Formats: sequence, C-alpha cells, structure tokens
Amino acid sequence: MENFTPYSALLGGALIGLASGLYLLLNGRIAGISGILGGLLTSKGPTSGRVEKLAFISGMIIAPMILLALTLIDAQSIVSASWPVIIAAGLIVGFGTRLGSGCTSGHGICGLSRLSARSMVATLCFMGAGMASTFVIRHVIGG
Amino acid sequence: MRILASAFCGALFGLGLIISGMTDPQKVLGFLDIAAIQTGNWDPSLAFVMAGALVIAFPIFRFAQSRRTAICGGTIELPKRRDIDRNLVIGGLLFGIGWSMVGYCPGPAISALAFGHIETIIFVIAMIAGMIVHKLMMNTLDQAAIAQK
Repeated sequence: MENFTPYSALLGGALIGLASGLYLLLNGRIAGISGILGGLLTSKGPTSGRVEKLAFISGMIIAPMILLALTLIDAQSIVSASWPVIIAAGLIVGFGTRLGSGCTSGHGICGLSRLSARSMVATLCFMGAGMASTFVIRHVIGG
Repeated sequence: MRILASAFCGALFGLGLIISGMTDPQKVLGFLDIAAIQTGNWDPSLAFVMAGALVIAFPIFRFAQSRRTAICGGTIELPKRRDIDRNLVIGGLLFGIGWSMVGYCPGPAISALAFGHIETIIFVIAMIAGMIVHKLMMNTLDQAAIAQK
C-alpha cells in the first residue's frame, strides 16, 4: 500500500466535510457539485441563485490554483485515458449524475450525512459500478 | 453576503479536494481497483476522504437541520424525495461506469481545472454536454407527457 496517504486524505476530507456543512448552514443549500453545475444550465429561478452557484464553482477552481501557483502543494492530475474514452466518460458522468440526482458530493457526503436512504442506494450503485467497471477495464480488457 | 459565503465554501471544498489527492484520477482509480487488495497495491485513501468528510459534515448537518433559516438568510433547502426509483439506480450505475473510465467525478474534475491540462478541460466540457443532453431529454419527455393529456 505504498500509494496510501491516510493523513492528507483525512485532512482533505475534513475540509470537504466542513465546506459541505458550512454551505448548508450559511446558504441553506446542498453542496452537490453535479447539482450546482446542473443548476447553472437552467434559466429557472432567480439570477442571484445562479450567481451563488457560479461563485462556488469559481472558488473550487481558484483556491487549488493558488496552492499550485505558490507551490504549497505537490499535487498532480494524471489522465491516462485516450481521447474517445475521455469524451465518452465525461458524457456518461454528466448524464448519469443528473439522472441519478447527484454524485460523490451530493449523495456520498451530503446525502449520507442526512442519513438519506436514497443517497445510500445511489452511493452503493456508483461505488459498486465504479469498482466492477474498473475491474473489467484493468483486468479483463487490459489484462 | 450569500455570494461571498458561497465562494468561501467552494474554495474550502476545492482545497479539500486537492489536499486529499482526489484531483488525481490515478488516486481515485487506485481505490476503485479492489483487485489490487490481493497484490497489496490497493489505495484506500478515498475511503479516508469520505470518512473525514462525514465525521465533520454529520454534526454540522444535524445542527443546520434543527434551524429554519440559513445564517446568510433564506430557507434551508433539503431534498424532499424519499422514493428509490429507477432513475436513481440507473443514473448511479452509469455515473459509476463513467467515473471508472477516467477517474474523474464532477467535483474533482472541476477543481482539477486548476492544473490547466487539456484532458481535464475536454472532460469537463463533455460532462456539461452530458448534463445538457439529460436536460433536453427530460424536457422532451415532459412535453410528450403534456401532449398525451
């Protein structure tokens, strides 16, 4: 388990949990990223709601950008998939998270924190499918 | 005030994602690859991220749910649905498959834009396109349902 990073995982996770909790407490909204993105694609509701969503997404990009620019962190983001796979994966993730009303943040963190049965089922579905599919990609097709 | 709070929460969220290592697809795939348990190369980090997040979020959610209004004004809006329907399951399964193909889920993909890699940008554009396809499909189904009445 040479790649295992328990401390940074716990610390980063705690920050994600804090951000999700504060978003509900301060703004009364669920910090589900697919939901926030989906909300930006609709013209329903007041403009102020969309500005808030845009502010959240901007914060999500700018904060890591600052960490990287100041070289405060040694992080990477390596995509090893081919172009067709990247595009197909993006389409499926976008479609699937909207159809299932949430992703790792909305169902996995916010939903489980509310002890929502719906979110528990959704989390089991995407974790299960993710693991099964990784097995097929890495050890059946790739192996 | 709400916009500022929103940007602050987004920033914390993004910091959490990059510190936890989840902005790296290889880290995520290292978790999803449970066959690696046998070889001792499995990376349980993602489970620790979830655990760390839940331990902090759970009590704050409890407190927030006991309130009627949000601190920055407005109501506390929680999902009202309780039913477990076909879309929830199929959507979840599809998302899991797409997640495993690259190693990006929506949050980490957005924060990973900070690296400026073209692969990430294309993934995010495709992801948003997938969301638009879903929206168009739902609109068409709604209109068909109205026409039937």
